[in-house]
Amino acid sequence: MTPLLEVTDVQISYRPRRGLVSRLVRALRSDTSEPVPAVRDASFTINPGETVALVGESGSGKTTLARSIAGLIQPQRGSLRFEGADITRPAHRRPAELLRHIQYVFQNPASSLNPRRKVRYSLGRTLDVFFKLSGAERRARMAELLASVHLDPGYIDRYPPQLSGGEAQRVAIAQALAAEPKLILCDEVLSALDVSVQDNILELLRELQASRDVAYLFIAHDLAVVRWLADRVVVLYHGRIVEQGTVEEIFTPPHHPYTALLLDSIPGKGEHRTSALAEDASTVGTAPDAGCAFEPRCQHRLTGVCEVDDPPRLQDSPTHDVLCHLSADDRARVQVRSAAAATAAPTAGIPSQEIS
Amino acid sequence: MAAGPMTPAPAGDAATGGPSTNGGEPLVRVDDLTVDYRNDDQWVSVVKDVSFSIGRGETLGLAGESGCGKTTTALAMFGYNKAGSRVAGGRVTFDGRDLLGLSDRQMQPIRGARISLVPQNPASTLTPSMKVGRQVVETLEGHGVSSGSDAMDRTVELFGQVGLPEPAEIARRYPHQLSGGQQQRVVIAIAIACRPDLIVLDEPTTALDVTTQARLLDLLTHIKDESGMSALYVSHNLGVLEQICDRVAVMYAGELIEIAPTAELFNRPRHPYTRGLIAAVPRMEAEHAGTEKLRGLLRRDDLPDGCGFAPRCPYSRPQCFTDPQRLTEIEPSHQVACWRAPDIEAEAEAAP
Repeated sequence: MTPLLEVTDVQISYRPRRGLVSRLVRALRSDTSEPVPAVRDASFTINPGETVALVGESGSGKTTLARSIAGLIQPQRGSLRFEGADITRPAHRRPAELLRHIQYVFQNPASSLNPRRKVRYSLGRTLDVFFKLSGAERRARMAELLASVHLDPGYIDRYPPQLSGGEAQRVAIAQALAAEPKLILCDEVLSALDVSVQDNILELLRELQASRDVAYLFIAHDLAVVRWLADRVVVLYHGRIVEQGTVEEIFTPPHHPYTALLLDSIPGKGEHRTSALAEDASTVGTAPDAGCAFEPRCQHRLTGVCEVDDPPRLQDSPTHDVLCHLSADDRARVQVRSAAAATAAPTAGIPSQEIS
Repeated sequence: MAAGPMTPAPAGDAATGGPSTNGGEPLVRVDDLTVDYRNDDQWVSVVKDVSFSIGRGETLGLAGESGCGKTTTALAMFGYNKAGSRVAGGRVTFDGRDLLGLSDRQMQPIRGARISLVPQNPASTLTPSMKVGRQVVETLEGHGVSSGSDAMDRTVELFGQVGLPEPAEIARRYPHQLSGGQQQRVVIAIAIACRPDLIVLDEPTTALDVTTQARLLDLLTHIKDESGMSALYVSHNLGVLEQICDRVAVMYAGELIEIAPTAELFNRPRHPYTRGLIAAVPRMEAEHAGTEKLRGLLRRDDLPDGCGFAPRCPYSRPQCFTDPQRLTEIEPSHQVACWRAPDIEAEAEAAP
């Protein structure tokens, strides 16, 4: 089967600012360093009708990667293929048919919908761009779209500020569906919503996938949400894919140490948490020049190895790979041990000063 | 939930559902608080007859969906004088004084010193054009706690206490030079600077990454255990409240509908809304139970005379729409506002 989307060795850097002042500041600081890539060596695929979750903290490159798939940023290296055809080019140079097939739903519906235009306008615009419909067809199509996201037909004449967060996100999803896409990029679509509303939107996304066979790239920082929606999971850390596998593989040890940290961070786990307790705040957000990017935060680093050499990509199974110096057996050993230790004696003390 | 040495064990108090703290008065007592917002020419109650108490050293969670009145209730701890709203009834007693009767001038020494606030978005709380150290010093000086170089020393000490790396260096930075987690640590440092008796946390981790959230929850637990201060923690995520609170109160459409010790509430939620809210927390352990999910949305403009949750409730009966529900004790220290609560457990178990 040809994958719907194939991302191969993609690298994306943000160009340093080119203004006179910025260049002068760099010259004065004798800063000749190359910009750190926001995404490096990213390779993964999405199959038709599948949900792939892209997980990581803010700044890990999730949105950058999604934007490159949408054609909003151009990768410096690597290729993007959609149904086998090369699409490594900006959106304005992509054929309309391709634009239609890849749609984007943003994190904050309040800012992605035009507050001064009725829902009718937002939905109609998408329909007009991609389809030639008569007035009656257009009206019927809009009613059907609202029904598919469980909103009353009356919503067509509402303005976005009159909608609750969940309703606005439903409209945004309807707008994406209007194009009849094969892939929807869902960028943190739940983060701005209440927990109970999140649950409803998740349910809706699942339902739409079942009825329309659409694939999702679902970006999230919360693994608990991902578990019940995704088929496969890709974990990003500082622009690199540190682990990817089926949802079962990601949620069953041995994990990449960073995935283990994300799992430990889910609220409501009480004293069972381990690594987050010992996390040193000063190491968060920076990556060393050499070795594994996660090394400063890693509880199981091998001194003399992890801070020196780039970690290898280990194939734990044909569908599961992990970017780590520790073998699957080693990871299994330390992760089982630290989980047991945490249950026996919860660590006390100031969390962020535990490790030097 | 790790209880610190200063944390009294919550015990039942039939009148308010609060703990009787070692025989003493609770630190905070809210009695029949009603707050109205102006909507065109009418006053609409957004908080209705809410009563609870917070013991000394206790952390009370306040849960509910957007628009349920939880933030309005929490802000009543600071007196109430927001434009376009009014307190239509009730009392908020803090350490024996009625806060709602105090003027701004009288509130001044209490706000920030004895009761402090950690709001949701640290980026909009901090002054962008002022170094963060200076912002803490301002709080210390404003309340006459310390001044000059003493205040700066204390600031560096506070930054260390909230786990900021290189505290002296951080103090010289501007808010935009810090990450979201670091900014929120600065806000927490400001909130605990004057060693308050009560800290009000309004969704303090909602804008942050899960890993940052986990670290901040650990930090807050640690600070509370060390200082013995009381806290009111507002969140829509019951998973977060489960981790940090001694007791949890659940609000719906401006009313308190259930209040119980944390473990009790999670093991035996009695109100159908609480059950739905718990089922909505994303969990790792088990697949969601489909039957308990919350349906629909809170619609303030369309509330029945009876129970506000009735239109969304899977267990509702005709009486639910007409008879208002009062919070009643169902177990010691566990109160619920649902006349059908005793039947619901049985029905839920019988359902597939």
